[in-house]
Amino acid sequence: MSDLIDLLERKRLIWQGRYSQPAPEVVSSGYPLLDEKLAGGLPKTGVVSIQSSIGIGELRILMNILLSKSRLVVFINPPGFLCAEFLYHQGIDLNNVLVIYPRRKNEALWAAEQCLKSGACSAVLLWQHAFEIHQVKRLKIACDEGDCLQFLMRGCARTEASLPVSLSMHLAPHSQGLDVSITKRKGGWPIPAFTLDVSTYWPVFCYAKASNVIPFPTAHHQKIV
Amino acid sequence: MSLWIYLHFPALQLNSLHYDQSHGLVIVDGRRNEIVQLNQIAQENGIKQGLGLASAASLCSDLQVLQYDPSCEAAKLKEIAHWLYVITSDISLFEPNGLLLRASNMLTLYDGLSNYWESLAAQLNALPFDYSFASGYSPFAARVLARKCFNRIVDSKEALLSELKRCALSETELTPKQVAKLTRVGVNTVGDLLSIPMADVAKRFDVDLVNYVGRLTGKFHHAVEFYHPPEKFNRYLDLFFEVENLSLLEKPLLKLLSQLQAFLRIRDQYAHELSLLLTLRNNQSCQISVTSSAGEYRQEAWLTLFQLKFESIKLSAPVMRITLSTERVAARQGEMADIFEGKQGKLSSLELLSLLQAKLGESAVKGLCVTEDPRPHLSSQFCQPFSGTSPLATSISRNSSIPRNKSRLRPSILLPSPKLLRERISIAQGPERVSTGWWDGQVMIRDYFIARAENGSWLWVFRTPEQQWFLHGVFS
Repeated sequence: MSDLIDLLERKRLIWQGRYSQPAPEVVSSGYPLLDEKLAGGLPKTGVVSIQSSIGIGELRILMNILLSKSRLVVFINPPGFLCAEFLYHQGIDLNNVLVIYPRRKNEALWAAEQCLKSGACSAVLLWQHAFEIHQVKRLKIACDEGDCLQFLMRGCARTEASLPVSLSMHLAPHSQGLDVSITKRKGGWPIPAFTLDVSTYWPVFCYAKASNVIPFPTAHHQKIV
Repeated sequence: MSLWIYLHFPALQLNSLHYDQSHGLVIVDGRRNEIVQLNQIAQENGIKQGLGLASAASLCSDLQVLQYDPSCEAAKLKEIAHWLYVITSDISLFEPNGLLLRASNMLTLYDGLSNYWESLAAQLNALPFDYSFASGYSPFAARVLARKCFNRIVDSKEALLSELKRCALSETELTPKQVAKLTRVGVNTVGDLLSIPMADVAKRFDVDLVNYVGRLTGKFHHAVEFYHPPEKFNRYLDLFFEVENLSLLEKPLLKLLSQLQAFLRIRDQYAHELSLLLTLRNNQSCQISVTSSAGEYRQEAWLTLFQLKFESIKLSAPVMRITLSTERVAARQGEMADIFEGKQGKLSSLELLSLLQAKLGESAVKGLCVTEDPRPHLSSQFCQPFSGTSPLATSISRNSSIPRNKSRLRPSILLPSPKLLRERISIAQGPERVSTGWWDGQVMIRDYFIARAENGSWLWVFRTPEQQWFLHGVFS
């Protein structure tokens, strides 16, 4: 009898309640708190949506992940000139960086898909506000094909329907770094907002100690100067 | 005496057309008003070579007519010579429609005439051209026999000579005037002519005839110029229909690309850039160039790149001819893949780059590099992807030569040009004075600050000596 159960189990014809799916492969974000909340880190492949306004540190929290990659990192449609000096001093090999400025939105999606499925890239960052469900699905399939990680850098609008992404994060500025809320996570529950302290990595971008901050010079100050 | 093989292509222009085979088609020599080449359907309708255009048109109602173009045939002939060059070395062009090959030198390599001819014929049969052939112990003898459709390759001197003797004088290279002169004294065939001793021929006829007879029999030296293959691939194809839709160009283009593939493969080369010239009806032309950074020779890969390129091209008039040429080729490098990493995807990074550039345009895909220039807008620059060097020759430096400094804070995103600061900020770090650029006239004096805007974003702002504040970047 037990032989038969073994056989059926091996053929995956029996489903047992204690059986659980293997956890998806993850890659550490470099921030212990974030890793802990995400049960190990960000997914190794798949689509990650990041909702934030520009300039609050949304790229900085990805730096450790980008640094751990050996293949190409592609930036599609960044909102300005991507600064080579920044990436260089952070330790990224600039020969592994491609920047693409497509003329149209469809071309941006096309470029992202090609990069993802080529297998030559390890991460693709695409700045675009709105996505449709089928577009994200295609990107996801391309990610699996090329073993690549796709970041969707979206604006802070929170109105859209849920997209089929592996992980969706919402970032907001905070005095110690960032307020992170996980709005969607594959194989886990959403996590309400928590504060990610980045002061050990980026002390400049924290302003808890008010003595550090010099007020913006007003017209009155300028006269004195 | 060396053995020669002559190949005669009676319908070179007709065979090279890319056309629909359901109509009768004739090629007419306009100057003589006679049909020189015709297809199978025209033959079935009773049209023969040498017929006038009017008689031909009356025999076949939906006849299509093309003008005879010797230059087109000469170009095709070169292509054939090129194609045969892999098999045999000494090829001479007899324009407009003949090729002469020197067989003697190749016999040791191929171990006999029949083996040699077998591989030659296999190579020839891959082409769409009809041909007739013959061997001979002089270029002219082989030529006369080939044009007579002897269609045998033998090395027996007696057999060749007796066949040659049976040829009528009108089938030789002699001018009609010379033929008429000879006929008047009863010399009708080559045999008759050869039976007259040389000295008598010299006495009674002009020196040209003596030269000809000497060359025909192989007694006189016949200088021929041998063909050297070109370094560059450059071929064209005339389209029989005017093509307005670029997607219809794929089939004829594939034909040229397959020739390119063969061209590159026998040289063990990769093409890095191809250019396709579309000749339009309004006498204009449209040049399309496609690059492959990794280098490529396979036709399918090039076709994909061309298809992507076609999407962004608009034609002003229908296409009549396409010309494909190579712009840059390089010897093939060994491809090395990491055996432990495993090849993850289908494409290498250079192949991906070519794909992106073909669709988006070369200017849309960029790489990054840093220079030693302290001015922020010059220290980070776009460059050719994967080049690792700056485009500026003056401040050229390898990316790796600049020390990395993690504490050097630079914004991740720079504005294309600094903008007047219009919001309230609080300064977090600074100033960092940049006062430089005296050497090239672009003097810059700025105090840079890292500041925080009220909405929480981190900005890179600077103050000029005139106390004006500008926004230059964002720390995202």
